Amino acid sequence: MAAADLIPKLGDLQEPYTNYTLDEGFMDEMFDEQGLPRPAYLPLFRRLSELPKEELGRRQSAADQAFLNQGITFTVYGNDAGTERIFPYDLLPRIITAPEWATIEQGLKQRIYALNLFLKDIYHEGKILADGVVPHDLVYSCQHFRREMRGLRTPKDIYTCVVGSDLVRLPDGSFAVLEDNLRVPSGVSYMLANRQVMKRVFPGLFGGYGVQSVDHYGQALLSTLRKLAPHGNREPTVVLLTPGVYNSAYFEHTFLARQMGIELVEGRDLAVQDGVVYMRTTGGLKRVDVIYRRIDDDFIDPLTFRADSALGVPGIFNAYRMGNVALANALGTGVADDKAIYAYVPAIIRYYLGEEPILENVETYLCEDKQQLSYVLDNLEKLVVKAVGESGGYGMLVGPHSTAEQREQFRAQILDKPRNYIAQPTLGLSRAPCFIENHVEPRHVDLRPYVLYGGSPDETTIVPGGLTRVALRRGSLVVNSSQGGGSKDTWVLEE
Amino acid sequence: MLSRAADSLYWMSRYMERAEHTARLINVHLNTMVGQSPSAAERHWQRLFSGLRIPAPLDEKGQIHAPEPYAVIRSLTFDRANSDSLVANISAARENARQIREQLSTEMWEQINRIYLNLNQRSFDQVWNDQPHAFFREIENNTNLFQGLTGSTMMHDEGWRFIQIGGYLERAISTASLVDAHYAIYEEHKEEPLRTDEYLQWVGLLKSCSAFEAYCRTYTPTLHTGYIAEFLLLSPVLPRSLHFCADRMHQAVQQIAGITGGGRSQRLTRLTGRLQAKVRYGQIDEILADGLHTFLSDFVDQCQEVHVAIYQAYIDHQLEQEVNG
Repeated sequence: MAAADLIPKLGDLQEPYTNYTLDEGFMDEMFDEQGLPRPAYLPLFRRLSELPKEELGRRQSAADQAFLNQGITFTVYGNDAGTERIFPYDLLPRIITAPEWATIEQGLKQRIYALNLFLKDIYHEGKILADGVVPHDLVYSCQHFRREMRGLRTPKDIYTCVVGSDLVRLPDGSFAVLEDNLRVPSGVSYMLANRQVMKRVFPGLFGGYGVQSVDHYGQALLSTLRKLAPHGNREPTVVLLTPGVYNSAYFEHTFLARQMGIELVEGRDLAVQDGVVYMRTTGGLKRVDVIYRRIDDDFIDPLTFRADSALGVPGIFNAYRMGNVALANALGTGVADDKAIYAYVPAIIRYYLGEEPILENVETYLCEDKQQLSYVLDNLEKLVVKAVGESGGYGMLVGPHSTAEQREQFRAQILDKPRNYIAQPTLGLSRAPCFIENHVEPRHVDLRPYVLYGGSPDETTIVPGGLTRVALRRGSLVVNSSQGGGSKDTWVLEE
Repeated sequence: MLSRAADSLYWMSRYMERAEHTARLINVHLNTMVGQSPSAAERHWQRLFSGLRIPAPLDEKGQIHAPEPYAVIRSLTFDRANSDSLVANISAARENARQIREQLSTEMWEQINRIYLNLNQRSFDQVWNDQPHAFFREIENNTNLFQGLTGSTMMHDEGWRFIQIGGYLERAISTASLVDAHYAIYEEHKEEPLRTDEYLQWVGLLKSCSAFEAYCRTYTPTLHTGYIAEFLLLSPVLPRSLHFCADRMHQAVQQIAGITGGGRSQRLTRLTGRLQAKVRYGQIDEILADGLHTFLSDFVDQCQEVHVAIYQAYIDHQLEQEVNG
């Protein structure tokens, strides 16, 4: 009893917790149902109670300044002169215990393995389609399906090796996958930069917490890429291909290139001659073996895909087909993170691995299915509707927060192209403490861990951590940075 | 290294040097302008514009009209639309740095970023009404800090050598233009008795090259136009002299040739070697006798040839020739 008395309860809390509430329908990351701090959060909880309010504010501005000075900014589109903003950073860490992490890790390894097997299958024999587990139509009608990839063997049958899956935590405390990002996932630099800033502004707290390190991500990424080298080359030249300085993730591209010690190239730095890719250097042309490309499929080769692309490298697909260069991720992986295919991922896991999925999917209605469509149309105000090919929070209707006009607009769009839309119940994303205007208040969060797949579950690395994205607006459920979201450091604790 | 990276490092360095040159010249200009007679003002502005290598604003009669200092200095510092302004040069340097962010040390990047952010937060009125001198001095210090960090936190490899070439090429051209501007006006008015404010102009020239104290130590505080020319052109130890800049350029070019190998740099090495010989073995009395202006324009032309040769050797080289040849 004595120990419990020392643990303060929500409700009789002092500053900075006076604005903190626990509401029905959401799991709170910091407090349990009784309003007691969870054990993993207790030291943080105490530290925050001790610090004067002004001190927290001071540290928040120190952190913001650090991001600005480092030029860790993203470019806002549709704004002339390309305004640079910092990605809002929340001072307080999100904490994940070792057992929770073990489940996430196992679940993602299983899932990404199965998705790679799926990609290989649909671009070769198509057994899963013949067996009727996934409908043909859904695959072939996907805008990210690349017929050019049919019959092309990728190194070690690896299709998507750099992955950032979005997880959410449901009201019962379990983690579920909301989205698989299998094409060019971004945000990993923020995971690393958030950690660096955290160590700078909360050195004492961080030091005593037993947080697992994420700093080896760059090395792990480089090893993953080197494995793809063609012709068994042990000393491959690896480069990172960026669309250039005007891309919103340009900071990340430079960051990763530096972490790996590889060249950051643009399309104009590369040239293809007789099926071999070269980069233009001051010492002449140098052969390139592996390309970590951060350019979408559509833009990578104007000779094969979009002819108007100025970002890509003419002829690179031919070099890829000839096996003279490896691309990471492979082309055409977007078919497996299509939001309609997503609904089939549990079935895909069972089909290839004969196992039950460790991480659940979120319930999903496919508008292409007549019955499901009518349910969606009848319940638009309760559901979240998403366009299947979009990401970044674009093309989305959040039913409970929508106007009648917006719903009618979506109804028309869905009826026009049902294949292009799915719907999900409005999720009660878990909430974590954030520092908002001198108070600690709960906000909805998700989690994007970064997976590096090397050909099997055992050869898969997931650095313990990830990017926790926060919907900083009160009540908002949308965490995307383009929609007013921010991020926080994510601590995975040691055993 | 990537040709594009070499190109960006080279230009980052040139723009940074140009920004510093601009800040220093304006600072000296504002200082010497204090208490100046109106009749001297026209020459004074002419020197500033020529020294910055920008056309002077002319009136209908084709004369330099002594402009309103506030408007001109504002345009030379904070006007983004004016590509010669301080803020335009700093932005261009940072934009180049951003394109090769991964080549720079974190210290360098943060410093260049800080200069940029700091400049964007300032308003010209505040600077002008407060202490313009302190502001320009701060810019000089900040750009010098950047150069110091470049020397002490970046590997002195190929990329660093391109930074050296860019910086010293820009500096050589700046010094040459500045000296040319001062001597042109001097030649025009040689017959007139030396006025006291003209004396101040020679001090201004030396200060614009951070060379006044060094001059006093090397010669005496007595200003002699021949000595000044000798010092700014031929001194092997003055960091802004043509000789000093040519030495560094030639050295960097030879080192890059050693790193990249092959015969692509032969012409470039010859050009920087010739440039170096010109200021290393030149005699000031002969240079003055043949005409300082001729010498300096020839020098600047040769600098431009070096620039073109850098592009031919390392940046714009042709792909097909190399694969097949």
